[in-house]
Amino acid sequence: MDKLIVIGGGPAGLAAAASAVDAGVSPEDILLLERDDSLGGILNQCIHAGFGLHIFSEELTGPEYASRYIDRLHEREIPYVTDAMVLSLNADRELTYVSPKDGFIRLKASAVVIATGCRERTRGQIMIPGTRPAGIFTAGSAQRFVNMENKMPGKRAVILGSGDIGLIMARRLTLEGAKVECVAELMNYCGGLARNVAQCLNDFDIPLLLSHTVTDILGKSRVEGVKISQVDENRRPIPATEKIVPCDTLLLSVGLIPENELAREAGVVIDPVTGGAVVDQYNQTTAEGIFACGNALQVHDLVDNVTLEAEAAGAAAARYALSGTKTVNYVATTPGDNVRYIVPHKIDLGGSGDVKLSFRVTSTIRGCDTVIKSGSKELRRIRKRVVTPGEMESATVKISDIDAPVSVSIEERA
Amino acid sequence: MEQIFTCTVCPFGCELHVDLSGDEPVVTGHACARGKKYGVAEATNPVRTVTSTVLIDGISELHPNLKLLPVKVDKPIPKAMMFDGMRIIKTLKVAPPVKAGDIVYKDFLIPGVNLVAGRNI
Repeated sequence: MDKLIVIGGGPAGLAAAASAVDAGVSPEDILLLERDDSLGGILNQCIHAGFGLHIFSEELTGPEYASRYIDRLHEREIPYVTDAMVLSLNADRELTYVSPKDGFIRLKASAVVIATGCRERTRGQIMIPGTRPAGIFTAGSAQRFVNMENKMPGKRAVILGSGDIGLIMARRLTLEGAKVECVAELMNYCGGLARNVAQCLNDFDIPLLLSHTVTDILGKSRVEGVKISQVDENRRPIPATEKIVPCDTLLLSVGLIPENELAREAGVVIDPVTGGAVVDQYNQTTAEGIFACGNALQVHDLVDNVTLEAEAAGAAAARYALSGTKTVNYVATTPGDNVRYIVPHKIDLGGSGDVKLSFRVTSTIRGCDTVIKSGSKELRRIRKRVVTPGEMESATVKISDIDAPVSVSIEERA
Repeated sequence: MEQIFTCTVCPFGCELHVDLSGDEPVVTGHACARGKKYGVAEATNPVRTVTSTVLIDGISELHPNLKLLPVKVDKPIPKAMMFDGMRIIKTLKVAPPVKAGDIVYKDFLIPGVNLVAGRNI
C-alpha cells in the first residue's frame, strides 16, 4: 500500500503518526517527514515548565513533553526522516521532498496528515515604521537563539505584544541578565495567560503597558530605542503620549499564522478566520485523504489540545488509508453571537458518537452560557463563569442529535 | 499588611487580597478553595519551577548542532532564590551523553532539590 505520510515532526505530527499505528496501519506503511534536524518541533526551544498538565497531570518542560511522544514513535518503530523539506503536495496526494539523506523523492500517499505548525507574524506584517537596524526579532526566534544556540539577542529589550511567547521571553531574558524595559500591548487586554503575566512579568517588576504600541524604531546599524505611544479606543496612536524608550532589542510577539503553503498548493480550502484548513470532524480537509491538525489547523494555547486533536486526525487518516472513501452527508457549523470561529467547519452525519467543537470567543464575558443548536433546536447549554479570547473553548455534541446546521453562541446571563 | 495577587488557578483571574497581620493569613476575593490556597502560598512562601540551560561540553551524538542542554529544578524553589540559582547554572557544563532526568547538579540551593536534564543528548 502507499504510505500514510505525516508532514511535520512536532507535537501534532508525532501524536498523529503514533495514533495511525494504533488505529491499525503498519508502521512500515507510515513515513513522518521533519524539516528540522531533530524531532520535537517548537517544543525543543520551549524550555519552560507548564506543558502536559491536562494529559499527564504534571508540569513538564517542552523538551520533556516532546520526548514522551518521540518515545512513542520509537516504540512503534515508525520510520521518519529529519532534514526533510516537503516541496510540493497536490490533491491526488502526490508529494515531493528533499533531504540530504534521501535526495529528491517523489511519493504517492494513501493519506496525508498536515502537521506543519505555525509561523510568527513579523514586523512587515504589522507595518511598524522606522529604520531597519539589527536587533529586531520575533519572540520565537529570540527564544531559539537563547535556549538552543547560546546567543543573547541583546542587553536591553522592549517587547511588543503580550502573547505567551513574548511573556515567556521577558522572563527568560531577565534571568539571563538582560533588562526588559516593558511589554507593550495594542489591545486593552493581555494576549497571554494570566499565569504568565504573574510569573513572567510581575515576578520581575516588568511593566505591561496595555493599549500601547511601538510607533517608531530608532537606530541605524543597531536598534537604539523605540517610540511607544498609547492608543485610543480605535487602536490609533495618541501623538501626545509618545515617549522614547532606549533599548538595543525589540522582540515581537504579535500573533501566529498557521503554515499552510502545502495545503493551499493541494487546493485545500482555507478558513480566513483561523488561517487553517476547512475540516470535518475527522480533521479531513476539503481535499479527500488530506487531514490537518495542530497549529497548522488552528493556533492552540495548550500543547495538550494539539496532541488530542492530532491523535484524532491520525486515527482518521489511518481509517481512510485502510478503507478509503465513503459517502458523506455534511452539515455546516456556524459561529453565533460572540463566537469568532468553530473547528470543525462541517459535520458528517453519517458518522457516529460525539463531535468535539473547538471555538474561540470574540471578547471576555463573565457569567454566560455556551449554547449549541442544531437549526432552531437547542442541543446543549453549558454554564460558564468566564470565557476569554485567549483561551480556546470546547464542547461535545452527539451526532445522532444533529439534523440541521449547528451553531455555537455565547449568551450572557441576565 | 495586605498583599494583592491575580489568581492564576483558572482563567477567571480573581483579585486576591491576603492579609498577613494576624496569626493566620486571611484571604479575600477568592471564589474557590484552590484560589484561597494559592493566595496563602503566594503571600507566605511563593515557589517557582526554575528552568534554564547549561552549556554542552563537547558534541552530542544525538544532536550535533545543539549547544545547550535544557535543565529544570525537580522541585519548585522559593521565588526569592531564582537569581541565586541562575548564578550557579551559568558556571555549569555537561559532557554528553546525558539522559533526560539525569541529575546535573545535586542539592541545588536546597538539600533534596536537584537540577535535572530535560532532554537526551
